[in-house]
Amino acid sequence: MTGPLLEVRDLEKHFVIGEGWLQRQAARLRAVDGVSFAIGAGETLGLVGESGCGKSTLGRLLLRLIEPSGGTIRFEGVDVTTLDRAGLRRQRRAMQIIFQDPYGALDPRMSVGDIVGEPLAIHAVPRAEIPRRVAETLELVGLARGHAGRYPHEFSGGQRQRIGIARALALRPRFIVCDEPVSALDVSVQAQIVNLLQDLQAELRLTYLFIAHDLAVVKHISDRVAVMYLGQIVEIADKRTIYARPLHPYTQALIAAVPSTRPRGRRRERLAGEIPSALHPPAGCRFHTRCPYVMDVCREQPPRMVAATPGHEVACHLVAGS
Amino acid sequence: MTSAEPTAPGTQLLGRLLRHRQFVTGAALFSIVLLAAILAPVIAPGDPTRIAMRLKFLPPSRDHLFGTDNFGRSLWSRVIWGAQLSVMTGLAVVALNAVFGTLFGALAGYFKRLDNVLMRISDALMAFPAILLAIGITAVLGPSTSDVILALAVVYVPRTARIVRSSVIVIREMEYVQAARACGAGDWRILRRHILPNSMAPLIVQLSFLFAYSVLTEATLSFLGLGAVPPTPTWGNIMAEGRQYMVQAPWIIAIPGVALMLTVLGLNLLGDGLRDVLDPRLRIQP
Amino acid sequence: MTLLEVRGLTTAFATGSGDVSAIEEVGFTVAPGEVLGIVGESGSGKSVTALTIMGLLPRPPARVAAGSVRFEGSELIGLSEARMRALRGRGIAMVFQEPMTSLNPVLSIGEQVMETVRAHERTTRAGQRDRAIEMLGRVGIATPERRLDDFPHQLSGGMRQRVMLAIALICRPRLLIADEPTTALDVTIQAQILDLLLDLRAELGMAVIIITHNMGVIAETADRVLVMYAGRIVEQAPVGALFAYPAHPYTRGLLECVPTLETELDRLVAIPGVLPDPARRPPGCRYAPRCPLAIEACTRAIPPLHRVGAEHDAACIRTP
Repeated sequence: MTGPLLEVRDLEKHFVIGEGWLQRQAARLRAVDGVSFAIGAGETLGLVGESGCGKSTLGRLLLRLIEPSGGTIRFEGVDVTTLDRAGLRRQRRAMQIIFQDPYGALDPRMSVGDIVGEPLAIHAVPRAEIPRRVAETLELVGLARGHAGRYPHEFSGGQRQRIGIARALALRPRFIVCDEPVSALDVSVQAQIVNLLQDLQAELRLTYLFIAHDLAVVKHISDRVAVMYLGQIVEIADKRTIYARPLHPYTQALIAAVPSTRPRGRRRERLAGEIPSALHPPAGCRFHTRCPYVMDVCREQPPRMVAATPGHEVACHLVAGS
Repeated sequence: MTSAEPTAPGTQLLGRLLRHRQFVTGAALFSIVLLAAILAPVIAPGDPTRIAMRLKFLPPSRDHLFGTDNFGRSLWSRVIWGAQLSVMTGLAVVALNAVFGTLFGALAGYFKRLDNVLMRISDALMAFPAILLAIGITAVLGPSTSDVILALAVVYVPRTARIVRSSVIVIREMEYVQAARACGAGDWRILRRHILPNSMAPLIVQLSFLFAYSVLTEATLSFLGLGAVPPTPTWGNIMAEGRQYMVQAPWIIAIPGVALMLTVLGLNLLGDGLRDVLDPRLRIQP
Repeated sequence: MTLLEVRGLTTAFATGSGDVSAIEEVGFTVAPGEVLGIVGESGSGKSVTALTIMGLLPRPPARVAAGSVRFEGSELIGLSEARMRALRGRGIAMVFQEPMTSLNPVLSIGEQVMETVRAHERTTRAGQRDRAIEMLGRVGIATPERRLDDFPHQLSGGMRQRVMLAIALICRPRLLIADEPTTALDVTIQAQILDLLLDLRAELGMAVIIITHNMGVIAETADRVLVMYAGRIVEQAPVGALFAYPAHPYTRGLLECVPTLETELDRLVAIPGVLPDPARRPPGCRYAPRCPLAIEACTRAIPPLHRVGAEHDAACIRTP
């Protein structure tokens, strides 16, 4: 296949907060503000960032669970943003999502078989076929065929997450948005699910967008990593580079902040200040209020994404200047 | 690790209900009334409107279990047939609320554009105190049981709709609904398969209390002369007639009053039990 | 003199299917000024341990079935509620995980900080205000005199956690129990709060029990570590020894299954299986069903803690 599987250009999502009776323009929340990236087939792109960075919103925009305010999303060459309802429905066979909360993501009144079979039913798979395909998918994720008759409340968090993964896989999609799939699980179970996702990727030739706030997990599972801050991508590179030679001060701060099991001395550079509200992002470079290297130009002009080295892009005046 | 008894959520809830003391008590009380209503032709044969002046004002005895009234009519007959009417009224109002309350509530909760319109209409209707609105409607349409049912439906559907709407609004945002949309499910499928089944709990609790209100309000309206026309017996109009004879024949007003009280009490206990068991906070969450 | 001494602590909950012990035979000590880390996953009993010490578990259905908790020499189990109240905030304080729900949304943060002062000291309102301002400044809130009248919803998660710390520490307790204090926070804010915690501990000379599931946090903050699994302590050691020579298979499993920024693995080494249901625990070692080293003898009796190194204990018959 030529070209990347997924290509996103200038994607935006603005929420208008507080519209009154008279539709007075109140605050505009720029949850995702001009994001561009590409993911190749079979690749895992990790997406990290803290609260308010827009990573979850971005994941849902790709599937049009939230409607974009602007920009394009090309999946296998087709612009997803312009599809009509029927077209979008067909598209949903190829692009799926796994959610964070194993407790909220499964309908408590439906049996596991119904949950995993629903996508099949929606896409007109013959009824006689459905139980067999459900059973196959359940086994793929490490559950037993017999679990189809049970209900979500009978399972542990890790198993419920497997059910959610099975639902996403039912139609054998090509691309899956993993929205913090392990954050709500115990660490011993996290490892199981991470391994499962990797195995499935190899077996079914899946492409992932892996959204998480845990840098270590992202580093483990991703091929490339993008760092988001307040609605924009500030740095994107292959995983080794981004962890070994992070260029953006925010990326550096994020990495420095992760508590390490092999601490070298007690003090490291700590990032000061609070994360600004996404409603009133700072002018110029959004990170300038917390940046230890802030310069005058940072306060006035937002930096553009430039390729520091091939495959390593950064949006920072410090890098652009040199 | 799966639990020992794999059961559907519905079966589990049923089990819990049957172990709940208030529910069982309430259900027992209400069953008595329900049975009386169903078996009326069997246990109270004969015309409850048959006058027998020679038998008037007989106190309760073996021949006349509830005594007779000022026209010599068997109070037993009248109260049993009155029970049938009360139960039917309650059922009809509950059924109308179940259908229309769910319909409007689900539409308002799910489709934001309809929400405004529907809620303003419902606000307007709710601004009237229930009883006054019911009185107004029956006064206009004339006293009869079906008008009482209609009035009660008009009065309560907005309230029921609001309750359904609240549930729908919460469920609409749950991740499993998002997941269904991600699979390509359309609005109707989501409403039918995901939202409504999960919104039923508060509605069911509300409907059980609504049954009680309906029975009580019907009695009130017919007490005021706005319900079924005498000689058709309703608990309300039996009590209205019995008012004048409170000293000589207190059983005329007392017995339907007790029947009414037990019915409403039973339904309320039933509703409490339902609410305790169905409240999502107590639901099967680890 | 030890500040806190816990011995044989067993807390049980009355459930529909009989009494279930949430923690069993938990014992450890905390010296003044020491940082003890308690690490474990959900269901390990670490929070129940903290709440038992603080007397914050609802009784019923909770019940301290056995054991003792001695704080500065006095026994806490069985103490009247009034005496416990006098101790909370003053001798021992606690901060919780969710700053969103730990603060009262309808009271200003100033009020909430001053409330603690009022409960333990006899000062005028002005005096309380001054103490509150001073403490809020100490926890790193800029212009505290202006923030006194702010409400919790006006603050970010990190700020709220700082307020929680201010409330907990304003009466200079000798022991602070921090139950997952940074789990709900962003990683850069987490780093700030952990630093703050350590600074305050040095300044006030207090001991800290930090409860978390994050091994990195333990490595950076604790002096000694307890590892809990299914309600029991499976290992305890000085922090360096724990990471260098983890003795219990569960500790090793935990360390191996968590990816770090330094490791480069193709696959994580996962611990198979799930935590046992507290009502249906296996006889013998509770970790045996998931343990790669389990033998038949492991299922016969619960292994006691035994010494494996300098101040290093593990509850496993397979470690020498």
